[in-house]
Amino acid sequence: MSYCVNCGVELAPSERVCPLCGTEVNNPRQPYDPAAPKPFPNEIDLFAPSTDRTYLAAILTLLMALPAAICLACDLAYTHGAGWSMLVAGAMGLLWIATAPLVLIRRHRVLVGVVLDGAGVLGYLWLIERYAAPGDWYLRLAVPIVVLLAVLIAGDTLLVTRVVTGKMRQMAAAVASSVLLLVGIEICVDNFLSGSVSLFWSLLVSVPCLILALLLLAFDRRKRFKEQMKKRLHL
Amino acid sequence: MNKPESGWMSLDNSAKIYPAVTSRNWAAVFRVSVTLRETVEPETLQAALEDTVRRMPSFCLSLHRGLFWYYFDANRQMPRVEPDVANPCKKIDKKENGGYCFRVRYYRERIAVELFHSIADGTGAMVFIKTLAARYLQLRGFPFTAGEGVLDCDQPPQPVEWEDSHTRYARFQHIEGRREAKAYHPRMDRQPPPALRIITGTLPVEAVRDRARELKVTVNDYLAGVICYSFCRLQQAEGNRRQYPVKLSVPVNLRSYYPSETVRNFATFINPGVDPNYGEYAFEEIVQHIHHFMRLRLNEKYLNAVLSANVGNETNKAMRVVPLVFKNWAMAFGYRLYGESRYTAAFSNLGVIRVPSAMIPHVERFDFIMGPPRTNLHGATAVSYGGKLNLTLSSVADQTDAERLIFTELVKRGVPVTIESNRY
Repeated sequence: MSYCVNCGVELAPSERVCPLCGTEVNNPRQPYDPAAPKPFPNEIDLFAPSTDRTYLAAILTLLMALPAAICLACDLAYTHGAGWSMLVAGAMGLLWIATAPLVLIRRHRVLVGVVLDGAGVLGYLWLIERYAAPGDWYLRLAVPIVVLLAVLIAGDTLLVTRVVTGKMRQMAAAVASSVLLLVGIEICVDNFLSGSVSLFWSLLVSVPCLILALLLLAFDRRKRFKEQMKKRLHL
Repeated sequence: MNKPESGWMSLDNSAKIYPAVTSRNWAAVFRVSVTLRETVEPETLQAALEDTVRRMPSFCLSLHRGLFWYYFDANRQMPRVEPDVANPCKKIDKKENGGYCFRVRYYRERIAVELFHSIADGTGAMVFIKTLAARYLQLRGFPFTAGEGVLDCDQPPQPVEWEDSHTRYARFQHIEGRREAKAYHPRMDRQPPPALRIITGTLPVEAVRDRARELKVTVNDYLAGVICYSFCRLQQAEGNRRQYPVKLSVPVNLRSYYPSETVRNFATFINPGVDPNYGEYAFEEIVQHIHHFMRLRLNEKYLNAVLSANVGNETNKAMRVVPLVFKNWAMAFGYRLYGESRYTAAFSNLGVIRVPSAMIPHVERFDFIMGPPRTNLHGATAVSYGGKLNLTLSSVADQTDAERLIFTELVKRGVPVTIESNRY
C-alpha cells in the first residue's frame, strides 16, 4: 500500500496520483500498477443532443417564408409587380441565413456563419439598391466594407481560436484588429465621397485602441493583477 | 391513495420541490451501490431488476406534468441495466431511460442504482438496492432470506410501502419558520455538467467511533464536525473580510420517529453549523456545537413542526389551484431563498447497513454518492458496512482543497483513511 507523502492518506492501488493534492505515487517497493482494478470505468456519460435540429430549422424556415410569401402575393396582386415586398422577402431571407444554418451546422459554425451572413448582407443591400435607392454606393461603398468586415471577423476568429491563448491576449488581438477595420472604413468612405484618401478620424480612434491593446498585453504578464481582476469581476 | 401499478400517483411532499428546481442539465440525483464478492452477470441482473420493480411498483413510474402538479404514471416498459460510467449521477433524461426516474448500472462486482430524488430518499433507495442484490443472489442460486430492509420479490407489494407519510404524520400543531442566514460557499471554479469528481475515503468504523467517544458525541456528529471545521479553515484561508456561517444540511430520516414503512421520501433537513463572526472555533468546540444542535433539534415535536411547515404549503387551498408553471416559479424562488444558499454542503449519513445473514458472505461493501448540487459545490455522504465506513465527497469544483482538508483532518486525528477516486 502506498501513502501520499503530502497528505498522509493511504492510496488505493488504482490511484496513480493522490486525488487530494495531485502528488504522484512514489513507492519503490510497490510502484503504481496500471492494471490494478479501478473503482470506476473510463467511459464518460455525456448529454445526448436534446434538440431535433432539422425540425427546428424547418420551423424557422416556415416562420420566415410565410410573411415573405404573403407580402409578395399582396404586392403582386395590388401593384402588378414586385416592389416593396422584395425588401420584406429579402429581410426574411437575411434573418433565415443568420439563424437556420447555425442550427444545422455543428463544426466551424463561426466561420461558416460569417461567410453566409456576409453574403446575405450583400444580397440584401443589393435589393435595397435595386428597389429603393439606386446608385453606385453599392459597389463602391457597401461591398468593400462588408467584405472587409467579414474577412476581419473570420481572421479574428481564427486568431483567437487557433493562435492566441489567454483571455487578455485575445482581447488585445481583437482590439488591435479593429484598427484595420477603422482605417479600411475611412479609406472606402473617402474614396466614395471625394475619390482621394486622406486618413484622419480613423487614426484618432486607432491610437487609443492600440494603447488599450498594449495595456492588455502588459496586464497579461502580471499574474497577481490578473487574479485580482478575476476575483473582483467574477460572475 | 392511488395504486402505482394500476394508474397514476401524486408526488410525495418532499418530492414536489425537485422537478420544480430541475434545470436543463441538472436534476437532484443520488446513487447507492452494493459491491458483491463475484463479478456481476448483466443478464441475471436484468432478470433480478424486473422482479424487483414488480415488487416495488413505486419505482416503476415515469414523471409527467399535470396542470396543477407533477404526477407519476405507471411505466409499462421494463427498465434496462447498463454498464457503469466514470461520471455517475448525470441528469436522468426521460428519452434516454424509457421514462424511468432511475437507472441501474453494473461494473465488475458492483451494482449501482442512480435515482431522481422525487422517487425515494436514501433509506428507500437502500431498500431497493438491497432487494435487487438479494434477488440477484437468489437467481444465482444462493439462499435467500427477507428482513433487514430486504423485501421478498415473491410477495405482493404492500400499499404502506408507497404511502406519503408526510401528510399522514404532520399534525400542524406548530409551523416552524424557515428563516436562516446565508451560509458560506467556497470560491472555486465550477466544472460544467455532467462532470462529477468522487473521492471516497474508507475509514475503520472502530477508529471513528473511538474518536467520537472521546468527545462524547455520535459518529455522525463527529464526521459533521470534521467537515464543518474543514470548511471553516477554507473560509479562513480565503481571507474574506466578511465571514459567513459554515452550515451543513443534514437529512433526518423520519422513519426513526414514526412507524412508517414507506420506501418513498420521508425525510427532512436540519442545518447545523457555526458562525465564525462570533470568533474562531476550535475543532472540539465545533463538534460539541453540532452535537448539541442535533440534540436540541432531533426530537419528534420539533421535526413535526418542520414537517407541518412543508406539508402546509402543499395543502394550502389557494396554493393548490395555482397552475403548475407558477408553482414552479414560486418553488424555484423558495429554493433560492431557503435551499442551497443556506448551507455550505450537504452531509447525508445512512448509518450502518445491515443485511440478512445469508447475504453477508456475498456482500463486500456499500457506497452512497450524492449527485452534483445545483448551486453549491460539495456533497458528503457516509455509509458503514462490515466495520468500514465509506465517506464519499462528491464535488463539481475544479479544486480539491475541501476534500484534502477533510481527509487530512481525519488522518491528523488518528483515523486511517484509504482514498480512491473516479479520476486516474
